[in-house]
Amino acid sequence: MTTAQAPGDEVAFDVGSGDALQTLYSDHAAMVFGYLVRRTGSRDAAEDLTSEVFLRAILAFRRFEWRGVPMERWLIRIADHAATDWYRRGARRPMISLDTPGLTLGDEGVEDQWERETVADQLYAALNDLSPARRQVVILRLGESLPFAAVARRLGRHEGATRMLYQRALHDLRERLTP
Amino acid sequence: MKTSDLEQRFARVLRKPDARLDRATRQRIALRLGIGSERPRLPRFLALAAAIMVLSLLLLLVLVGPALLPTGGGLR
Repeated sequence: MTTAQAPGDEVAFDVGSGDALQTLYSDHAAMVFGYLVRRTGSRDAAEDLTSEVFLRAILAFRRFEWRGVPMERWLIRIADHAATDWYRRGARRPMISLDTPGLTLGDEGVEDQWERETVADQLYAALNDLSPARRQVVILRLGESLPFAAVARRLGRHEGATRMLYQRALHDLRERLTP
Repeated sequence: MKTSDLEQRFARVLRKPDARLDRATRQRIALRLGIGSERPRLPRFLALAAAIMVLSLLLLLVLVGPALLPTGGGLR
């Protein structure tokens, strides 16, 4: 029997048992889903990817690939990889369609939304160019508005190292976005 | 670009009010994973209390049960 227990988790579970996936899902689904909505910008994509993440996680457990890292950090890493694959498959974030009922070219709302989507695409592109660790810190810090201590706990890092990672990420983003 | 401007721009894009996992979505994903409807887990103290109650009842039955048998109804 192989058991897994992450710091802060209430119980260890038998990864070979049928309840392992259910326990893992119950405890971490909201966190993984939230991360993926922010990472992809799409609830539909996040829904697909969340199931993929938990399947990958449980398969990895059964292959004994778990190396004792904190559970949340490990799941975020898998989620980030799954989202990267999603972007590579060309599954772009949904754009506004001009065929959408009720929208016309002269509609100021549409133009505003189009501009917002374009800016968002640029920011997502810059985010995708970051290293996974830097990207994760930015999403947790700015997307979830978590204090550095909480980001550090979730990623299993020291707070000082997390702050440094964040500053480096901002530096990279600034370089990418400066014309 | 100032750091605060950069942070604000990313925060505006990344802060998703719809990032919360609602019950329906949670159930749909659970079904896809083949774990059916998610069982709410019984808190530990409730499970412990239930176990203690069952054991107490059994003990009571063993101790008091024979005294409740009708006189002469037992084995001779």
